[in-house]
Amino acid sequence: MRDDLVAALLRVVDPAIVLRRPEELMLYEYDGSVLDQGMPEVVVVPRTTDEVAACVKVAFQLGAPIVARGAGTGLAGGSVPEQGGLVISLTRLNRILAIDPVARTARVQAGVVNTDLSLAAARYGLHFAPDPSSQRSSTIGGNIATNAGGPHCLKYGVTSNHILAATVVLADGRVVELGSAVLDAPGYDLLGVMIGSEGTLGIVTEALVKLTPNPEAVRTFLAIYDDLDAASTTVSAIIAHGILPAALEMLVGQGIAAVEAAVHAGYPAEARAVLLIEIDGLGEEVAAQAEQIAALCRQYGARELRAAQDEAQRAKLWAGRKGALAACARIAPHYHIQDGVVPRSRLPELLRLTEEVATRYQITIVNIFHAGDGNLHPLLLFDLRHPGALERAVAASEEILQACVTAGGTISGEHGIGIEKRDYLGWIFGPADLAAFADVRAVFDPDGVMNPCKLLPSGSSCADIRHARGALRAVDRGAWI
Amino acid sequence: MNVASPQPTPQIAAYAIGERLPHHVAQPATVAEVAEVLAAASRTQAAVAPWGAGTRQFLTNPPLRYDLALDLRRLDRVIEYHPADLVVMVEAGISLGALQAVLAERGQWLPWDPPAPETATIGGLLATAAWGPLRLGYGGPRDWLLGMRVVLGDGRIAQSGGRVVKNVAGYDNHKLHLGAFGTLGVIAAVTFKVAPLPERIASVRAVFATPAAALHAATAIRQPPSQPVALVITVAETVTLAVRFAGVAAAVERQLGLATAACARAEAVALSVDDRELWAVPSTPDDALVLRIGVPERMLAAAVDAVTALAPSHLSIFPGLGLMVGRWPVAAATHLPALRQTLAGMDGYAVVERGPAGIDRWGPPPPTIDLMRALRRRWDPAGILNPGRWLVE
Repeated sequence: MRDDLVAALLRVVDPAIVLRRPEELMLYEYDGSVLDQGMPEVVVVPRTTDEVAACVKVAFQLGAPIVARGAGTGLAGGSVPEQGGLVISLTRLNRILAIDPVARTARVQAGVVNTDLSLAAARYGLHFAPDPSSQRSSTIGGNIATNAGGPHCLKYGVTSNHILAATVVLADGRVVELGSAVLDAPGYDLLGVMIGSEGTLGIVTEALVKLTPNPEAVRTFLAIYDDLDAASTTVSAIIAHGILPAALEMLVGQGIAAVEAAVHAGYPAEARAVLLIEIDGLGEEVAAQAEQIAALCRQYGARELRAAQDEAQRAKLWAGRKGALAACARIAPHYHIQDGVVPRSRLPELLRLTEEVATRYQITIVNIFHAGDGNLHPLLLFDLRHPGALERAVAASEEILQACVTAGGTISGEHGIGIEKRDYLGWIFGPADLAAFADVRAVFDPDGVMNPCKLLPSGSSCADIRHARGALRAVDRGAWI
Repeated sequence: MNVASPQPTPQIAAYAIGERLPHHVAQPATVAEVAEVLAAASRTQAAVAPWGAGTRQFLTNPPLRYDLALDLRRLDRVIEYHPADLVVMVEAGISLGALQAVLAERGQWLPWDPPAPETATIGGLLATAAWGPLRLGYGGPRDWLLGMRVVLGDGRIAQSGGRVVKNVAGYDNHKLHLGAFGTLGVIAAVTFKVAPLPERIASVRAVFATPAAALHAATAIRQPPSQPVALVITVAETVTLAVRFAGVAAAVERQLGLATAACARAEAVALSVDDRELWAVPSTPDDALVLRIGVPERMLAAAVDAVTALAPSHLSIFPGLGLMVGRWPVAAATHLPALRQTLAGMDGYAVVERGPAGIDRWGPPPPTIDLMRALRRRWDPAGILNPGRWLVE
């Protein structure tokens, strides 16, 4: 298979975009998740949609698995070539094609880095609202594939709320445009299912995205707590009072000290929990919300409420939050991360449960997460060299995730299903629901070549050929929550 | 369940679509009953028209075959409402007005203002992609939809999405049913996120000499920091711009001032504090030609010129959304092909929302129509849902 695939690719595309030496391929065997690895047979780094289409066509004809990859910051194994085959890296498709300040849109190639788009839009007073913590590395294409969130999606919505149209290469190499610059053009919302489909329905090579005006006023607060329940109850209270902050993040326990040691942003290392609260909008709105939030924080037991004094301090607080995963490398060398969501009112009990689970499984769990959305990120930290540590981490993680589902929530808020959570999908969807998902997949990819065996529970055709878990990487600077 | 022998007896005549009447009416009270009806209809190849309040049946062609009207209004329960989580789950037969009343008791709303909210059902409004002027500020129902339970054409009950505000598990199948006109399945239950009611809502209304002058003002009104939640220019006997703001009272107050200043060239400006009357959507006469026109935002002024040249009796322009809804006497339908050609040159389209029998409602099909047809064959293999009524057969 491998030799046929390489030979066929070399016949139709510039050999310069075909990577096939083992040391080149090794760079593409993993993503930001830890438990999954897989070696591609060949990697291409195309420069145009046409080159992507040509490569897809070749792999399709040979029945080889086709796995699209952006920056590889995914946390669920979505871009890991578990079944081998062809990896298509989209990082060279990195041009911002047009910014239209009147329509407040941008046309971008899939490999454009999230932050680069907002930087380019800044001169028009606009930005791209989805802001996953990986935004300095992750690409718009990858954000679309995973329907990425981020702290500010609490107010501004997730990626799917910001994509108007996409150029997509389908399984057979055909190039189609889904969605439109124009609202309500007749037809089914195929773009709606493409977003978040983790490369199983097609490969997005270009997108027309919405840009959002920068707010007139922004204020950022740090609410500091000596009691975990007091912090999580404040979160529920803010939402229940009808206040929609731009972002409402929570850091718990050891994570606070780790973050502070990494960035020196003024996070109180000894606190039990902190809330990072940002509000934005018109000046009057922000002033009114600031008062309400201060009152609620006091009412529910905050020890102290600090306001960011200037943009530099605000940026530092956010750098701490967004760099939290790397910062936690100070605690233990290996990690496993979950992404469950619960109704906001159930946060206190879930956080209590997480602590109880940590004690019971003798494992360190740090929670640094999107509290306003109810999107938990229990970060299970361990050292693989200790026998049984990984098994305990996985068992603890499953117990927390089960509790999220029982509370009326879901198994992934933003990281995706990929490999890691595909066998949990049956916890929230029944056989008929899964069959309807499979129907959609069969419409777009009848031969099952697009990122096979991801996102849906693995069927009999998906042999578990994962590499041994002994080769896990340590926590490093290349991962974000 | 009641098929054709219910209490009270359903008036078959009440389910007329164009000239056609169904042979039977079903009024299921549970999702399981909907599934039974559709499974049986699939087996017997009986053509089904899903029916909410019937307020928007005119948007598509009369059915080729019409055996059964599937009235969903007995599925009208609020299944779960968690005000503290800002999430509500309802059965699809509840009217939007009834849902808004439940939400309003807790100081919340769904910021969605399509026509006929008092009677129109959630399922029907979603199936027909209904929207209103608030879409400018709050987005459309797609942005508020968290999950859905659907009965597919073959009677399978399938759900997607969930009950939390953030969820990437599974495909967003629910989006496929939005605006599908019931051709993939029947929407049975829906979960929305909801929002707190704004402290204040108020509007400015201004009369302009020409549509161009009104569009100019609309552009100024949309500049940051202003964030209008609704903006419409009505071209009829007069050219009227209406703009709506919502939020904290002081912020609304400032924006009303900015909007008034942006309307400096208007012939008349009025402040409307209790503005519900102003934004109530009038019903259209049955014998009209009604077109929905969409263009990229930067082509809007050019499209307005092209459309007003055809002398509509009533035209609503939605700056910021790139949409227009125009009304003509039926005879104006002869201009449709030429108008479509002009709009195609702007990457736009015209869809016939109301028109004479036999008119080409949608224009050329999208290039991905084959994928759409393949999807429909998967979920409605017997082709029983609204046959002959919509774009995808």
